This record gives sequence, structure tokens and C-alpha cells, in this order.
Amino acid sequence: MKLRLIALAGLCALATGCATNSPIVGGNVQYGDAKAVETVTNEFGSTDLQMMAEAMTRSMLQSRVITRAKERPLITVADVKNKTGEYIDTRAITNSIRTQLLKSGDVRFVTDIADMKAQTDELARQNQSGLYKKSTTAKMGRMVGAQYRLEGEITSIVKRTSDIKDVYYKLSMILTDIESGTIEWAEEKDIRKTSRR
Amino acid sequence: MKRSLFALLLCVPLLAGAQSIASKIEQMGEMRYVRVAALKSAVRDGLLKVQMELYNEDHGQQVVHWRVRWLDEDGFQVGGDEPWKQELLHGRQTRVFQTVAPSRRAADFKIELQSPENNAYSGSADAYQ
Repeated sequence: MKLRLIALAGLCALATGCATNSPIVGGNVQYGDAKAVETVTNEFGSTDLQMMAEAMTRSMLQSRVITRAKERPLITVADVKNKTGEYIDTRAITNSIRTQLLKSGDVRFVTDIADMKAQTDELARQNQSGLYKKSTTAKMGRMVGAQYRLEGEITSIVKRTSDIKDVYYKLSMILTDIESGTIEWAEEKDIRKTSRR
Repeated sequence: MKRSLFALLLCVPLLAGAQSIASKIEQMGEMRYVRVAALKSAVRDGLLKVQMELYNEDHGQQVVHWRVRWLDEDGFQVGGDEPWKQELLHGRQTRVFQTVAPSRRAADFKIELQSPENNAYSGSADAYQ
């Protein structure tokens, strides 16, 4: 009888004692500050991406293309060429710039080359599959052309000694008037990262 | 009496200026070496523009982390959290940092500021007094 009581008490302790009021399940993984300064290595990192996107966005918002425009200008995003020696997803930079500019409410973006296939596929599906009610389909030939093209390149200079590694990144971006071919805005953002062994 | 009144009048704009800087800065622990030497803001082309001048009183290099929290007329945050920016100040250097609001809705701002070598990180402040 005594033994049964001890076993029962043990089971109760297991059932209640292990439970916590913390809404966490799992091991030793912790969510961090996504906007924190990341200095794990001096390769291109999240802070570089965020700072470059922010610098470009804020600069473009002050440009005459936007401040003097009667209507919100229409922009298309072209490539940011990666001329560094490392792999950088430059699309992540332009996506961040596009998102921040759209959130400002001052510009509009048209479908760029990278997303054009999905756009034309959807238009074709609605108009040619015969599956959709005519009155609800998006009409062909009504896409709007961009007035400006946003493009750029990212370069780096890397210097090494036995105990120091210095990396200099530079993102250069331009906004070109598509009709006239004139460059209406340009900006550079550079970042230096130095690490010691 | 007249002289002290004149001195007091001279101090008023300075105090007002100091108060307005303090009200815009959120220091994460009091900074020991770096101080905000000047802070100004203006609306240009509908966008709130901010300029902050930091001075490093130390002879050695100091690192500062900062970002701006933009607020609309009702005090709601505009544009989400900015990334923290890490800046290097050489000994006795003054650096000017400029930024502009992410949207024309921003009407006010707060600057979050932190320097690693301050009282928040390094134990007792008495040791350095």
C-alpha cells in the first residue's frame, strides 16, 4: 500500500512538476533580434543587407524623381550584379528596397523581368483556358510600362594579412528614365568590416 | 542682480535645447565617453529629416549603436524596426549622422542609442568616477 502511494505521488510529480507556465517547447534554440548588428564573420550578412536597403530607400525617397513627381512614379527592378567574390543573393537586397519603397506609398512597381513569366502565365490562363467567366478575367494588353528602371551592382575589396581580414563592400544603384535613357538618381552605400584572428 | 538675471536668460535656451535632445534620445545605459553634441530635425519635401552629432570624449576609439524609431502624429510606430547601425568614432572625433523618415506619415522620432563601453555593460560606475 505504502509503495503504491509513493508510486502515485511520483507519477503526480512527473505530470505536474515537469510542466511549466512558459510557452516554450523544445531544446536550447532561442529567437534573436533580427535587426541586431550581426558580427559573426565578416562575410556579407543580414546587417549589411538591411543597412544597404535602408540607405538606398531613404536616399531614393528624397530624389527629385519622387519628390517632384505629379503622380507616383512607376519603377521596374532590374538586376543588382554581384561583382564580389562571394555568393550574395542580390535579389534579397532589391526585394527589401522594393518593399520599403512600396510601404512609403510614394512609388509603384511594375512586374519585373524575374516575375514576368508568372504574370503572363496568369494572364494567359485567365484568357485562354476557357475556365473563367469573361466579365471577371484580367484583360490582355493592359499592363502598364515602367517609367524608371532600378539597377545596380555590388563590389568588394578584400585584404588579408596573417591576422587581419578587411572587407570593403560597395553597393551602387541607379534609376534610369527608360524613355530618355537618362540617369535620374544614383546612390552608393559602402561598408567596411575588419576582423582579427 | 541685473548680471545674474542676464546670465539666467542666457541659460534658458541652452537648457531648453538640452531638454529637447534628452527627450528624443533613449540611451540604453548612460554612455560614459560618447555624448550627443547636437540634434536637429526638419521636414524637407514632406519627409522628416534628422541629424545627430556624436562626440567621443575618449582618446581611444568608441563604438556606438543607434537606430531611429519613427512615430506618426498619434505616436504609432511608422515603418517597423530599423536595423541597428554600428558606428566607429575615433578618439576625440565628432561624427554627423543623417537619416530621413521612411514615410511622409512620420511626424516625430526617438533615437535609440547605445555604446558598449557604458555603465549598462561595465559593472560599477563608481570605479570610473
